[in-house]
Amino acid sequence: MTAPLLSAEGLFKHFPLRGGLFGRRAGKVHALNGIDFAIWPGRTLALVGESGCGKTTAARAVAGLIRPDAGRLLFRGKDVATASGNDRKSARRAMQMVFQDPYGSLNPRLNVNAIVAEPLVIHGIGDGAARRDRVAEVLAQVGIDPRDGERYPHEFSGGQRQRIAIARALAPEPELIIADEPLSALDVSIQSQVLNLLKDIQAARGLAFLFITHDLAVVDYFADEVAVMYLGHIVERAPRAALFAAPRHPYTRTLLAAAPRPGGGKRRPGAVPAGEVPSPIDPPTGCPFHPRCPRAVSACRETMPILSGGDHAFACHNPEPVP
Amino acid sequence: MIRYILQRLGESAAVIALMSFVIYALIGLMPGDPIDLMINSDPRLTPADAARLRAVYGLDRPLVDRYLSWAAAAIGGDFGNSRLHVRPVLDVMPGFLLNTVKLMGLSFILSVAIAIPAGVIAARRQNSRLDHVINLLCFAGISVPVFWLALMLIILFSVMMPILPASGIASVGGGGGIMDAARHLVLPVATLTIFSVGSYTRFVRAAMIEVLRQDYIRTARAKGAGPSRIVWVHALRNAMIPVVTVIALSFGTLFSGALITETMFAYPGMGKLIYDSIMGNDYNMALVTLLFATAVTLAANLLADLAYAWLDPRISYAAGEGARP
Amino acid sequence: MINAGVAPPALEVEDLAVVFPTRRGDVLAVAGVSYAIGRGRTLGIVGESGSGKSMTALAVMGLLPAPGRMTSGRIHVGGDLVSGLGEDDMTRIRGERIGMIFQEPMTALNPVFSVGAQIAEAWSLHRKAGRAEARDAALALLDRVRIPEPSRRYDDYPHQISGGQRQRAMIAMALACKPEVLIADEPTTALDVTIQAQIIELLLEIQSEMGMAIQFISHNLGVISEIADDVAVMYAGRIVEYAPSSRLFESPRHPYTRALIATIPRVGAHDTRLPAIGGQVPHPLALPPGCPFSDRCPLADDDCRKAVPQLTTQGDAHRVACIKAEAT
Repeated sequence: MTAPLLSAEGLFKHFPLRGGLFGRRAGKVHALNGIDFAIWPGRTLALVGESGCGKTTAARAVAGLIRPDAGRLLFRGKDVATASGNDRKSARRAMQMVFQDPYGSLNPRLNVNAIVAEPLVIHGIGDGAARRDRVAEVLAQVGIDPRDGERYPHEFSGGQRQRIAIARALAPEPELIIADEPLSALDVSIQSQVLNLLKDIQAARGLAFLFITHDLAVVDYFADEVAVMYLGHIVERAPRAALFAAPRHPYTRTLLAAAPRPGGGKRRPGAVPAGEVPSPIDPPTGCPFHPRCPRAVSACRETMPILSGGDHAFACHNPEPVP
Repeated sequence: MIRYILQRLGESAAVIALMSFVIYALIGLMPGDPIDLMINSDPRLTPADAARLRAVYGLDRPLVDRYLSWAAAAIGGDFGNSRLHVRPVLDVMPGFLLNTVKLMGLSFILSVAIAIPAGVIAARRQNSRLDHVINLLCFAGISVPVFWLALMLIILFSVMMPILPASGIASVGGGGGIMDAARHLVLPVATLTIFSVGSYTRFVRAAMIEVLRQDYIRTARAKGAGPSRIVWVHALRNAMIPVVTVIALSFGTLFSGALITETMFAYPGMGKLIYDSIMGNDYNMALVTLLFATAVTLAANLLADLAYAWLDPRISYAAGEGARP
Repeated sequence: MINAGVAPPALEVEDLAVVFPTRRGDVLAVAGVSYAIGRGRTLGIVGESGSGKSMTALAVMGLLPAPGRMTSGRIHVGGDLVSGLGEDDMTRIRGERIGMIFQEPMTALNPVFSVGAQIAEAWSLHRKAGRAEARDAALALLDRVRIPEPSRRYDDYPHQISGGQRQRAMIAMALACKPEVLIADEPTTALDVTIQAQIIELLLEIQSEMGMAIQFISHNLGVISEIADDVAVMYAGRIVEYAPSSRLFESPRHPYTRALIATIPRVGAHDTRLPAIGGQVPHPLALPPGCPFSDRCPLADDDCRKAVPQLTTQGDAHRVACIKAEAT
């Protein structure tokens, strides 16, 4: 059994709300409440959930953009927070991020060559000539003509910009790419182009992915392992096939029922429970899903269920039966 | 909310205290002092007399000491005597203050009353001829130097067509009364109004154009709201938010514009008082009047913030309010 | 005509064209679009950006943003001609006979007025009534769209309620006067998937209760499939396929529709490779000659570039604008 490339253990992050006079804290956003997950080399872990579930916070914590309040991030077995300077730098280089908004994530004042070369500059990789070559190489890989490297982001379409962002992430030869909803801002016909590109890159370079999305269909297409998040907790974590074949947590089942199916006919009433995701500032007691859960029992209101079950883990007092 | 206001008032008091020292030091650093003026007007004063006089007035003590004495007296309510007017400062100021309030108050109200409709009309008919004319007038008003404008108005209405008085607040030998005072206000108010109405109109126009582009205006139209209702109910309330802020912040500019206007028209207001007291080295008067100007600016800012919170429900200064995720 | 029945359709659009003059030339945002929606039926309009699907809806409402204008077309609501009416008449029709809901409920609601007040306004704009009556009507509407604790939400401002509740409030506003037609422009795109499902359920429920026609615009074929009876697929300002929903998904005829359906990832398709549509949507001023899809179409040949294909019926209410379609 190979060791995981990245593991997260017990990540906590609560954002204080600064309200009122004198900056007194007026509550906290409970973004992450002790989550554990692992990503293996060359494999994709998808973090799935709706707004407020904490998946973006988790992605940022892995990328080092946010420091967790508690918990550990281990890259190749070494704690990123306490690692030596060199170890930390090589960990940062090995983990690159692609963001959701292709318009906002590229600096409009830099041309494409400069944008893609930036990680090489930051990590001191290669000299001028070597960098130019590398930039041309990754641009070609993502389907952008390297001769267009002198152009500026505003001259490209949304799909092309996202490719440039991917090229930028590939330039320093990372081992893990953290992709935060990379398809959501793209047109439908472009989404599959970019998705295919990501799959090809993964196969060619053996990259691992941490893929954040709300779209279960994309998860089924791209992920190897899936973790479903709700209000800062992981409620189910399983290999892809097992999750779709036998979802155990009622929220996973809700997500599956809510996912629109082309050609599936009109929506039938009652498939999705009423109510909305509660505010992460004031989460419910016990299991966060219990106010909306069709299978809630009295224990659900009182104690938070623990994520357990080995390979196919779920956190539920009254899980869905295995079909 | 109350705590917010109290906090702001506390901060303002601190600013005024700090400014009092800064102003005192600046005036003190100006070359010359009252004794030099006395020497200039009376050549028989000997250096020994000068030294003795300086000791009497305490002008030979270090700046910080003099400031602290002033501050101690000021806290007790004694702001000293005006050297030029030979009376306590607090006796002299109210009269001038009242005149300025009349001048600034009238022109402010007039400016806003003109700017809002003009800005709204210009925004509704963006790029039409009417819009271009309004814009031209605004730029003219903004670009014209105040003193030149004052002179032109004087030439036009007091010299060529002698229908309005050129200076002062009351006619010499006149019986006083409302009509006379009003006639003396016309030209100064007109000057100050023309000075500020241009920029206010431009603010209103820009804010309205921005608001009219918003999605919620389209929703209101989709509901079946007519053009008048869209502009005066849906749009204006939103447009006023930035406008109120900007207008309140420009209050300070209005104050200094009043200064030039008052000088041009020999209008006995705060502006003239400040100018004369600085040039005449009247420490006490200069200090108090400048501090007053500071206090007015701070008050305007506070009112602007409160108005902003009142107009925009997304802003709240109450303790414990944070944005919902 | 699809499902016209005996009564005139709730909404009928004939030959609609919308032009946007720009410095580089006139952009034909909508080119000769025709459709009809019967009472109580839903038409789903599918397209990507630049397809003209939103402009079509705005033209029907008379809300085209300047400098766009409708250069041709006849629009009938419940049999009455509404295109070409003056602004005063259109103001009366908007909200009362046609309602519209938009994509981003946060920006589509006025931030300085309470949610309840905005709904009450929608109700009272088209009738003479007092404030108390309007308030009661608004509370009933809030309840109808299943917003919990309506009397408390009434005084809330848009930024104080959730995205899903904002969209429900928008629906309440659009339905206040029980219009014959509801146009929904990407109403669920900005919402979470479970809320999206709830909103679609709500719309279907209200439709069956009130009998209104719905024009549902989206780029998401899955969502369209969940709500529409008939589907019109738009590309570069034209309808390229128009059929009952089940037929469209079972046997799509236009190459673009086929490619679009094939390219969407769906649950259960893990090991297949997603066929992608090469190229991208052409700029409206740089359309290929003839069929607008010809530069990306696997079946295209010289005949396709000669003329723009017209929508022709190919048996059983299935209309396609493609000269290659009958071969398949």
